[in-house]
Amino acid sequence: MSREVPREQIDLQPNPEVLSPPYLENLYRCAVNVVVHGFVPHAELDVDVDGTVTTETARFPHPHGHNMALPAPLEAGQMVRVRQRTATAQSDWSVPETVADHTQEYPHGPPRPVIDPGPVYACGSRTGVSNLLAGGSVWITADGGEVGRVDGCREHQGVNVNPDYSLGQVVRAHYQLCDDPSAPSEASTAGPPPPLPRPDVPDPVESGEKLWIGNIVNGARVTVWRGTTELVTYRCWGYALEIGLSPPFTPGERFEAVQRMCPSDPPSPTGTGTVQPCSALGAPGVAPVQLGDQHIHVTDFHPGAVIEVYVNLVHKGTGTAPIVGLDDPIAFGDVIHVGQVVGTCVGQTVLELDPVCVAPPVGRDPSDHNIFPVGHQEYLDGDVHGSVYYPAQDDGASTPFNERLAESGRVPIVFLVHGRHSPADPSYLGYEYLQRELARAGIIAASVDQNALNGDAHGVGNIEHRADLAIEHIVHFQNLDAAAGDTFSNRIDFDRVSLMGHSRGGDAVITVPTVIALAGVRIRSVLALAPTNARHGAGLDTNRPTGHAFMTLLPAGDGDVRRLNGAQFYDQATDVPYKSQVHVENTNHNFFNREWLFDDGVGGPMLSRYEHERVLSSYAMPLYRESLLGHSGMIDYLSNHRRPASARSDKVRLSFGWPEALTVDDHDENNTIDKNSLEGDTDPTGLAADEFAFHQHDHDGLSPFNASFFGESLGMVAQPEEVNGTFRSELPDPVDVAGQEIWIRAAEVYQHPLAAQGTSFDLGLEDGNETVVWVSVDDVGGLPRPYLRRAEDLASRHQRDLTKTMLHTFRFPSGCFAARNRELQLEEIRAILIRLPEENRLALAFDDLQIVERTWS
Amino acid sequence: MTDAGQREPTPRRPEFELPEIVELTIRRAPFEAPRLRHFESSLSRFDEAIEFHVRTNEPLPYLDEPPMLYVGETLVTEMRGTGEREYTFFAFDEERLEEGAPIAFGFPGTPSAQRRDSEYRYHAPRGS
Repeated sequence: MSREVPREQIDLQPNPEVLSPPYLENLYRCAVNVVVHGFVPHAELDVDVDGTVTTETARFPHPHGHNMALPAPLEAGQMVRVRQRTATAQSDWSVPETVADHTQEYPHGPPRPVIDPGPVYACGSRTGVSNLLAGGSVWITADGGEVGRVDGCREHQGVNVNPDYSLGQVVRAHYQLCDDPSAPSEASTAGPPPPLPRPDVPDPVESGEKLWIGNIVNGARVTVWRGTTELVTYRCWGYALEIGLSPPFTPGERFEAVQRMCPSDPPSPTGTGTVQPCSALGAPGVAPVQLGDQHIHVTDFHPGAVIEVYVNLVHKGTGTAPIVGLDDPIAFGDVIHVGQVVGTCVGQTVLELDPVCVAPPVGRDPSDHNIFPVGHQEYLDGDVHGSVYYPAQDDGASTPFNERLAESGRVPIVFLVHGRHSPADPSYLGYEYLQRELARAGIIAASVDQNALNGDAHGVGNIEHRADLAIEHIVHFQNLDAAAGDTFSNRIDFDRVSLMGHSRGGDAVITVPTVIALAGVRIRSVLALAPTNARHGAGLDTNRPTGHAFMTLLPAGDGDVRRLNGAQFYDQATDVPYKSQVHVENTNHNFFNREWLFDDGVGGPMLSRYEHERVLSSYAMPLYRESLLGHSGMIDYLSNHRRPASARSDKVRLSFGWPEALTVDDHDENNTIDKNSLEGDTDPTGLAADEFAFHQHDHDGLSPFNASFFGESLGMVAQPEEVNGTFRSELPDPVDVAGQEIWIRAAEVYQHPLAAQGTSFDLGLEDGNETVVWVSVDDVGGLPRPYLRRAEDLASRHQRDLTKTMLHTFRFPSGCFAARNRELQLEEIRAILIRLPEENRLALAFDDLQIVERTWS
Repeated sequence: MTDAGQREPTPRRPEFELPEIVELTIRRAPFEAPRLRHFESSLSRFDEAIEFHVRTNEPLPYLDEPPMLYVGETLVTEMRGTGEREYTFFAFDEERLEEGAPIAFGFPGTPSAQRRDSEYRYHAPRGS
């Protein structure tokens, strides 16, 4: 939905009076400063705290905003806003932000600082620290002695250290706000500095004032020359350095940079960059824009660039990356142009964008709720063996439980259950990364050693054995909780228990809630990662996840559990707070467990092992944080309202079930294609539609459409007979859908040979006046092609094409329909329609047509 | 000059061969469900099973879904190892076992052409 176009082809008239409001980092009580972002270079900034205005002239917004000292520390409940001013314009005030009390959001202390980037080296002179609340104090210790401090910090703050680090020193970062200290950072031991690489100096453009220098070693001193003039030496926390210089650059000027660590060692080779003419400046990168957005998210830009935003050729915003605010929300039909200006250089091209209905914004990393140090232990009691990670006083083996967390009550626990692998490998150690993330967030995480059951056994009996052993581990922790003097004495909240299982372990953790009878234990959520379904294989009914939140993660390239049985559990889950299916392309069975080394993946190159882990963490943590800690905003990651910054969400296809929805048709009533779930009539015109088993075999009396369905439900397959064939589903009573979303699960039906081109469909709303408005699936994310794995499946011993028709949930906000036709009466919708506009006659699968109100927090 | 690099491939899991059945005996025998500490096995409703004692030329691979025993088109998935390359499969629904049906190893869900046939066929054991 975006393209780069030459600026000269478009009549863009800059308006020097347009200036977007800057914005502030989160505000907390006791902060002695605020950090302002989004202003243009050299702007004058006004910060208004409950009517008291402080003014300063800023320099550059990048890389970390302008840090502005306040006349008095902030107090909770104060309202703060900011604006900017240049010689030609003054922005509006930003939307006022309320100063929060951090103890409400972080009752167990501020987030734990992170040495970022790490590790540190001997002779390092500056350290970056992230995961901070702006306005507090951050300081560094080396071997326990303070070597650097910043009072009034940014969220990511550099701290100069004096003296430089010595070899072997143990370095930690510390933080406090309102006399409330966080736990110290993990320790980083200063190692010998690595060989110093040549600094990377990308060519800047003329009239710019910002020089970006990359390839910098952690803690190095970087000396910069402009022509033959040595400018100055900067300390750098590593990775990259961005400095502001004056006067502006002229074409052909040359910059050089070297870096040094220990004085006795030689400097690095010299990096060089040459100033390029304005013609080298192109368009910035911009994230997709949703209807209703009141800002543009810039993802890629030249250092020091000012971003200009035009809506329908009218200049509407001027600011700097990453967020440029707009006065009005983006509306249907708007055409957006985004360009960048460096000094007097105007980018030769601009990015042209059409807004779409659904383009979920990227949110923070939900797996990174880093509050507590992490302790860990191995435990062994008869055949009960495993490893446990927990929130602790400090990092390390068998460190005491975190006292501050314990004072506020008992702590939830997750049990992780691996699957079948060689008993020679310690599979239970393979999820240490997820255990640590859980513990940092305040959740105990025990990984169950099931190797005793990894011999030659298969079937329902083996899965039940695994479930039984998992329950025995719960008993073990009940005993530890009840014992005096143990790390876990009176620490565990068995009313908040969750499970995660991989492969046969996934099958087992789905079994546990159906059989567990331990007093005081309540299962809140279950994650089945690439689970088997032994009962289905034995001809028994599939276990139905019931009474707890449920997620299954399905690696599309799974070379072991090739049929992705987790889809059966998703389909069968009933009476759950919510259910989630995370179908991930280019992932395999093994890479989620660090002890499972071989790549079993099929269907193309696999994501790296690290990317597998990030996917699991980024979707598992929202499940556990919501179901065990009650954290708000987490479900957005599962319902495709927000994408995690921490994972390859471009590879993720989500299904999500929310029980409070009004289900128009889920087909499982098996009441024929002629009626929907509301007993409304249906009417196909110009297409063939019928209900089929979305299953490998006959199901509830219906046959599969073809062999590509691996779930366990009934659904509809529609195939166009003419262009724009429709399927109308009547609502017996008119429904007010204003402010709600229409959800439908859909997929292109896989048939071999796969058509060269994919297909799409439109969803329509019809009101009482028979006004029908259509929105294309392309406007809400687009219909993905089937994940093709035929060649490798056929080459394997399975010798069967296991490419699947895998349905995903698409969200159609009702506002998108109204935006296209203001006459549509959302308060009185009489029917929902599906239209197949393509001529290529590909069959489409549909299920779970619902009207959904976003009632989750 | 920046090198785009070339990713070092992760070792592929070796492709598994379907094992060959070198010896097979069938009998009807009392069945003892797994004894569990915390709940009753769903298999405890069976007190008898048709047992297939199988010896193979290669061990079954360490997969979560290894190849299983096909009796005709009936997949027998309940299995316990009984020795080196020796396995006992349990079938509980005798009516689904077709007299004279071929016995083969195959991955669940694969058609008959993709299974490894054996020289053995199913014949119902005598006795009640």
